Amino acid sequence: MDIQIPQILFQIINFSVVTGALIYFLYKPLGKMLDERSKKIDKAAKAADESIQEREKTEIDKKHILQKAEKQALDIIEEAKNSAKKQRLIILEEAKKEAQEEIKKMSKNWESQRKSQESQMRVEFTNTVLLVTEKIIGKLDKKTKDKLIDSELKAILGKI
Amino acid sequence: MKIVVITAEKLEANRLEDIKSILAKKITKTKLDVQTVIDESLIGGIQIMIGSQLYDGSVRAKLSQIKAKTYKLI
Repeated sequence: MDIQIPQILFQIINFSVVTGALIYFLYKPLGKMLDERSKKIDKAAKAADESIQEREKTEIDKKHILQKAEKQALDIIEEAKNSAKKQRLIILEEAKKEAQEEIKKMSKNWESQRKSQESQMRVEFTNTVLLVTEKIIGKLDKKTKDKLIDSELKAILGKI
Repeated sequence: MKIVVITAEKLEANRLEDIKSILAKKITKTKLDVQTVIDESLIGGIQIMIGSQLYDGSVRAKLSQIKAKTYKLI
């Protein structure tokens, strides 16, 4: 078997050309494509991480906001309770004052009515006494009536 | 001079004369014209009107005075 150098050289050159063509047209674009895909995956993974972190952060913020809102609600309820207590005390105090004023007014009215009735009774009593006196004097005997005339005549003469 | 003697009941004649003579002694005018009037509302006592001046010694007047004083106190 003869070794044909030109044939070997041709085969080497042929192989080299095919290899070079494969490297140039297939391996490099494929590597580049793989690199880009890898980068894309990395980027997506990073975005996903960021998204998870963002979500976690949002969750924490939400929790804080809820806690804050809850605290504010409790504060508002507490404040409302205190305000209601104060209002209740004020209303009670006002009612007490009004009741006292009313009692005072009623006592004054009663006192005034009592005085008026007392006065009326005195007038009625005086009138009754005078009426009885009138009747008694009207029924006096002649001698006493004459004495009364004499006594009054004497008084009148003193004035003339 | 006109004098009116007012009483609650009619005076007896001698009693009226007594009153006339007492008045005559007190009022030294020449002639006294004494008239008598009966007014039951006086109740008792006597009123004498000399001219236009009325001297009121009636029980009604006394009671009115008492009433007025009592009302003042009330």
